[in-house]
Amino acid sequence: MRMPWPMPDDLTRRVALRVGFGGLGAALLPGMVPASAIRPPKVKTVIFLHQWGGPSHHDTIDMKPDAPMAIRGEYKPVASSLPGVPVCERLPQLAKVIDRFCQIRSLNHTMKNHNSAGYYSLTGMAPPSDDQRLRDSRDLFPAYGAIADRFAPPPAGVPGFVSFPHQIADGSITPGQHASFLGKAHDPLFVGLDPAQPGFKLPELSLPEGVDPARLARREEARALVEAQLGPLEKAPLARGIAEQHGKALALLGSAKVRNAFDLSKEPDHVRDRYGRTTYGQSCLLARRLAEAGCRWIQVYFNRSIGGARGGWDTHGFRGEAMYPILKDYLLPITDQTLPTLILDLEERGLLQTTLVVWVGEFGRSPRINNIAGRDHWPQCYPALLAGAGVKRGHVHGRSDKMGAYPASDPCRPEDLSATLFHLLGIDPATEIRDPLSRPLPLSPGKVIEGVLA
Amino acid sequence: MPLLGLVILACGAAEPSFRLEVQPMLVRAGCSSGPCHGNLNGKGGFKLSLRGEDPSFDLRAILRGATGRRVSSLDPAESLLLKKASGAVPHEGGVRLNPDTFGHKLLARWIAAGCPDDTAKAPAVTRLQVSPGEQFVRPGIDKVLLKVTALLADGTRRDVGALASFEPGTLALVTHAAPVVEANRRGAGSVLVSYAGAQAVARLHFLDHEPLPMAEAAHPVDRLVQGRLARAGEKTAPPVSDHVFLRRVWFDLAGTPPPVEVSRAFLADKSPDKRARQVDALLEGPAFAEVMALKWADILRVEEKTLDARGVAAMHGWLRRAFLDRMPLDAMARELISGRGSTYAHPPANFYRALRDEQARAEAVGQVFLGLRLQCAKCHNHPFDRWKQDDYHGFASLFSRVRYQILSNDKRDMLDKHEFNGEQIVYMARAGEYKHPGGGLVVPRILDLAGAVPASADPLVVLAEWVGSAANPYFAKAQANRLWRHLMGRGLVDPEDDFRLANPPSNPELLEFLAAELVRGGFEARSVLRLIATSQAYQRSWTSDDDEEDDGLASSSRPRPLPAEQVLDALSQVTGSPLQLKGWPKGTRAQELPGVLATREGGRRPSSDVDRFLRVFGKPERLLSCDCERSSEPTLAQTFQLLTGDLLQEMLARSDNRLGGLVSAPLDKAVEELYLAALARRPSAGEAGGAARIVSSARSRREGLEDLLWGLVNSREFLLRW
Repeated sequence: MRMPWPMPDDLTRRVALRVGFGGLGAALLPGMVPASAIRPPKVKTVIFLHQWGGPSHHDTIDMKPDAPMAIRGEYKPVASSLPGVPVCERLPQLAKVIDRFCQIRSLNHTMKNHNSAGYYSLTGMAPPSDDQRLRDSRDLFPAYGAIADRFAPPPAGVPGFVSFPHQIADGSITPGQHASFLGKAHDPLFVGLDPAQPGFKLPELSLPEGVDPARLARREEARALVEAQLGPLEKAPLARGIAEQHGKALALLGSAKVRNAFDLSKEPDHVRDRYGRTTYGQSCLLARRLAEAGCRWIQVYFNRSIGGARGGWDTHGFRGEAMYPILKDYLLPITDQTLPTLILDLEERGLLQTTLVVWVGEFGRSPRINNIAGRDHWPQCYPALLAGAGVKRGHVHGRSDKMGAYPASDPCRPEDLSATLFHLLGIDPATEIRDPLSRPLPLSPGKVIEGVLA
Repeated sequence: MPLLGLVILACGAAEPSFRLEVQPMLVRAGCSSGPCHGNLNGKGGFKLSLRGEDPSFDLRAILRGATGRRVSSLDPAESLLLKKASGAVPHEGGVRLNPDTFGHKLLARWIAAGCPDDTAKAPAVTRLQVSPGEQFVRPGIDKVLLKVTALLADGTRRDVGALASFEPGTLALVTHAAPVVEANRRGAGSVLVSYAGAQAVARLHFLDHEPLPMAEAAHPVDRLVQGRLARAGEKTAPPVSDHVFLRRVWFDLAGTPPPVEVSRAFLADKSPDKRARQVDALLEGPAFAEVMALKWADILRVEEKTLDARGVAAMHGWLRRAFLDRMPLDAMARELISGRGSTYAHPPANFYRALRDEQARAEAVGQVFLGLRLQCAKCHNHPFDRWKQDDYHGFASLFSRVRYQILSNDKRDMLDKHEFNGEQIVYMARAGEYKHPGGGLVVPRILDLAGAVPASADPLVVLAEWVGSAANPYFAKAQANRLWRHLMGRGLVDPEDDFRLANPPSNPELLEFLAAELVRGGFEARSVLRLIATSQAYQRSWTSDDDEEDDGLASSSRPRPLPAEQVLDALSQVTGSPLQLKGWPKGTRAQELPGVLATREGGRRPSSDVDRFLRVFGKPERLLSCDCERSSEPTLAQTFQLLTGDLLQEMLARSDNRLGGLVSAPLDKAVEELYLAALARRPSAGEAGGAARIVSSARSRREGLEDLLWGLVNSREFLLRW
């Protein structure tokens, strides 16, 4: 019988009662999959580059040069390394490496607001309503990385789920960035600092002011003195859990691997320059280093805010800030610098064989340019880029229609993408977990997108 | 297994009944379960009502769907219904009914008979009985035969063991045989039995020890606890030592560790009733009201975004005063449920300020006051309990007249409809409109009580009266259960707000007794807490004999983590460094914070070190009406706060803290004081020697003491409430 997960906090397991009916074997129960169907994982690390604000495909990778000017926009497509698959002229470096990518051009859903769509894009679960200010409560679904940490745990000494450098918000904090009811133990190791700043380091992994390793050792001695008196309490699961976490923390503190991964000063200057000395650029570099260290799910947020001159992709044209100047001066250049650099860097190091890079926002932008020189939210059809382990190289899955407004073929939803990512990590998307009301929910209600699998 | 004598269903004789045989069989085979055809959207184009709650709907779906190919009376074996269920054609749900099973044959007979429809004429099930209802099964026996009998409206009884559904334990294949429960582990469990809309539960305790003779007990709580323990064959753990008791009861009733002088005095006290007197003293102290106010503020959603800082202060202040003035719990409930008026001037109105639609209000009242989680019944009949969707909506409609007059709203984020900053008046409209999502008629009713609430009455006043009245079977038990959980760490019903058929109390007799005591004492919380805290059950230590799940019988205590506020306040008290909370008077403790923010500077999001610390250790955001936002698992983030965190380091290093006074004291006195402060005990000889050595090896006495204190507060003995 399937045991539900997670268990209520205070109980570790209930007694499993099996109701038997005279000897005929049990056939498949709902949600159970025969063991052979769950393949060994193709992907060891996912680098999830969340493009907050919603990028426009008309101005990036799914251009419509034959559409009217009000739709096709200012840019022209140029040939890329993939014949017949052009890329925006403002993304020349990306054009050179587009043959590494598998593009999905037919993602769609119905959430029009940043926080509701954001939550959807970070968890694969449609929110209960298209609420502009969806409140982040513990009955909402866990983040992808938390699920990965729980169901495909990382090797010892390495954090499973890491997220940086912002906590995204649109007014209120966007839900879907942490483990929610899956349990705090699967919350991300979140680093809210700027990797482009000198002296960037993980505060947890640094000793406080006035405490050197010798003092820490003395402190640990004092602790051991008291712990030795604990007696039978030591065997209680909670006591063991605390000891385990303490051990893990000390291991991380003493481990060169994770500390070094976060120490960007160890990276040669020319590499840091290639990524660009921006917060996002250095975050991509940090993501590569964490992939090397073996983290399971690395979530990089493009920007803390949805839009503005140096914000996310949300280019409505509000406040007189027209879209094309922002695309030209900021959004496209930074994308063109970081994404190809990351892919090539991973490829050079052989990491692309075990790492999957995902580049996607919470929705796309409207085909029609509005009357304040911007594009508005468009969840009806938007793209994702995947590259690396488990997905086809140089492939386009799904097409948008003539105007780039709706999927013309192979429509898929965020939960289909999440099912695919879980599948590649070796996690069965139909695995059930229980929310605080004990409702059984699958990790993803979607279907694996077979068309992108290598 | 021989068939039992009462079986009326003889193979091949009478026409199968759709309502009483075929549909229950579909439920039992899992066809109408949530992940399958009972899904909101059905599966594969075939939708059934969830768990068979709507027989007419299901019949229509079977007969009319799939262009009539689902059933074929002329050739039943060709019916899609049977071919899918037996795996003859591809079926994502797998094989549910092999052709040689009772269920398959039943369906085939029904189809062959022309799919007769008796949904209108079949008698309803008035009661479902399962026998044994409860059994303590001795070690060595791992099977129990269940007998399930349905009492029908026409007076007949039927054995429905072959047709009922059992949970836990879903089935794929059924045979025409009597149901046997088999345990694969020893322990207690419940089986929920459902049949044709009725439910019953069987509680089975698969013991791993023989029952014991009951030990003598003078205390009424202990008598009832011992009664169950004896039947379950469980031995009790010995009582804890004095210092453990002292620390435990201080955290539970005051929210802080005992001050050094109190520990010294208690340990030296030789009187036999010192523990009971300590309980009394704590219950009379002001900190007790803070502890209770914090608990209630959590479940009443007292947070700044919706209530604003002034409303939060008003509501929390009201709660604290209620506990200081010994307001009975039923009076509190009545005030909150009928709350209205200015949210600034009349604090109970904040109850509705936080709950802004009928469903949220209904669910909150259910969870907070009655211990019922009605949520599941919003969209369908409750799968694990007896609440029907109509009960839910009838109840929710009672709350449809609540309105808000927003006098001002100076909010920061114009687009955030959850944010309110300004006074509001909660009032009742003359009439309210409530639409049943399914389009049916809504009868305003208190749960499943007969008799609608008259339209002329003020429904919330009526509800408030009922909640606190003797006619209400839920309130006293739910509140008594909360009080038990507060001290014992686990409710007799667990989760504490989830009273339902398939989740029976671990000790029903004790729960009845505590509920009766609560009523007898006029619903005053202190009297029941005193009763529990003076029992042997409360004073037990931990044993590693049963480190498996907590069965709730209180044979031993279980260590639990301290709540976030208590960790911080304990660190502050032990180091002698008062918290520095922006916007609050000096010396304000975390436990005294009325809302979710530690900084009172009008910010809407937690921002300071203190906020971060509290969040990491589980201080809830108060967005839910349960106590479930606090988690009990240790996390890496918590460990790092203590291991390398700046907040703790600052408390240790502050020059005018406790260590400032101890630097010049004799070393052994200083060590003793630190142990008493942190752990309520003196160091052992070995510890004293070790501590002296450690302190002396530091660069300075001050640093040495800091390091020793760090070691004390990073120990599990400090961090756990045990």
